[in-house]
Amino acid sequence: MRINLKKALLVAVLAVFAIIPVFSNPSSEVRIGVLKGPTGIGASYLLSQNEEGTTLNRYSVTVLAEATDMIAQVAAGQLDIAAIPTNAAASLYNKTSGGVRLVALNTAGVLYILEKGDTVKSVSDLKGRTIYAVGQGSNPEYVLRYILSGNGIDPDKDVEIVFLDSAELTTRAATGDIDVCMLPVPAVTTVLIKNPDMRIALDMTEQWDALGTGSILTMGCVVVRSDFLKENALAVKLFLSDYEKSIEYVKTNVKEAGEMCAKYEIVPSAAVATKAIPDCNLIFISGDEIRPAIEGYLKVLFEANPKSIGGKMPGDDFYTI
Amino acid sequence: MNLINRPMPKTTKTKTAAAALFWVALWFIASWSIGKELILPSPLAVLKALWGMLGQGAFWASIGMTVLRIMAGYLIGVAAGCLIAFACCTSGVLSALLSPVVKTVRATPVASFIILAMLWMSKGAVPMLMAALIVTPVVWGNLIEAYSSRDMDLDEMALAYRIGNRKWLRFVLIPQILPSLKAACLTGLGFAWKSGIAAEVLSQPKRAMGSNIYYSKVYLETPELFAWTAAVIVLSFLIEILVRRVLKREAGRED
Repeated sequence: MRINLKKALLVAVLAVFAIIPVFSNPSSEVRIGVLKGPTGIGASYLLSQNEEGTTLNRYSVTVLAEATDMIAQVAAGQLDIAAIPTNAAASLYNKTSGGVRLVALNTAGVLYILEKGDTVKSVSDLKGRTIYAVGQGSNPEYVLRYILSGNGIDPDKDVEIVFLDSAELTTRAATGDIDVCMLPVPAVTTVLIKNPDMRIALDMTEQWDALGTGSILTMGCVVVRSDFLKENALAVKLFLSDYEKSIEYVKTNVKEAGEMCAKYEIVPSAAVATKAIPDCNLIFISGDEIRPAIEGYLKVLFEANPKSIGGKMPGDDFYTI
Repeated sequence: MNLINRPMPKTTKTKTAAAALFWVALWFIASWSIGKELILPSPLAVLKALWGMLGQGAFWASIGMTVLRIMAGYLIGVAAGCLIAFACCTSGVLSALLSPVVKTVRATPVASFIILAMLWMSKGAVPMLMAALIVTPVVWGNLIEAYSSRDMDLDEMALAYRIGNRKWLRFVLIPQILPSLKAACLTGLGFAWKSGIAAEVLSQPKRAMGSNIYYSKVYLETPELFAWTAAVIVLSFLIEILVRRVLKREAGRED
């Protein structure tokens, strides 16, 4: 009996020690999160360098499929730095009362309307069609709605928009089960390679510009938790340096970067990634240049639907490091 | 402390109220200490979200459609459970044929059914089917159990007095299995409600409480997520009370 009690105690103590590392972050690793798809591609070189130990910080990396999961993890303090959709960044800032800061922009417009056949020549041709799309509650949904409305199409009445997750929509579009869909770039590339009946019908970035908002369609950005920034300002600076180098590398070494994207499952295959990277509109904007580049876009989203960015325009501290 | 021969402790209204207050206070403290509406909104924020939703026609339309779907599925499930149980009790062949199917349905995760059903049928029909599928085995199982464990002496007596099938059904069998059926109906109701909502979350039909729960996740509206969930809970309570009443009235008619 006594031995059993001791054993039980031992097990309990061990269990507690096993759990502690889950809650604390004793190492000085910076916990970063990237999404599969266009916004994650720019980080592929950073991930690879991190594995080789040649980055300025040590990173523990999480690659997720859904923006909402990433947002939840940042809000819960499980990630320090995350590449997320721009509207989600503003939304997260508002919903956590200033809990995150915007430190870089990484992806401009990468959305396209694909069509099986040859009937969609302009946005107005979409009237009455069913449009399959990704990114409900995120940039793609708001961009699509904005462009439809701007061309006199009521997105709730004149078309049917069906939202699917990226993997499902890509598969269905690739197997020819869908007529009209909206996808971002690496997925577009996958579909075009696998299904020759599909063609690019509309470039949403062009359509955005055609509406004359005077803003730049910017889909992806990098946020850092305000608390983390306060205590680790240097680590964030080093990250930005690592990240800028990574984006530069990816843009110039397309083939190698493609393989890295496949290795970290940001894009399903190296061939697709290599083909997609030049169309991914990778950018690196940081510091004082962020605000003028993004604020106009957020404003357009806000005016179209305040909910898209969490109810109000982010305050000045959103842009301050 | 002596644990033997103690009656079930009484809960008074004051005790219940105090308990409710205690949990809400705990919720307040937890949300306040986390300080992030996105992770755990305060009861006030949820109440505000709920209040805002009450004024919207879409809110009531969603509730109406969800109740319609799930209750239709529930009734279909109860009917199917009774029918299959009847078949199993009357014929060995049918029992051998149907029992494994019902047992398989009972053991299959709801999520598998939902995903499969989404490929087969329209979005609105999925929650209905799920509610039915979850209720059928419960009703079936309880009825089979009650039938096989009924008092055979009473049957012998019925035979001895030659009261005939119809009277035996009415006065011997049904009174014995009715309590089990009622219990199954009540347990099944909770199951139907939960699986129906889960199906709505996954399949997102146009007007549905489950779809709204999903949307509040996608649009990062955690207070609305709580508010919709609260609405589901309240509704589930109300319907349980209603079903209890109906069952009681049925029982009263039997006496």
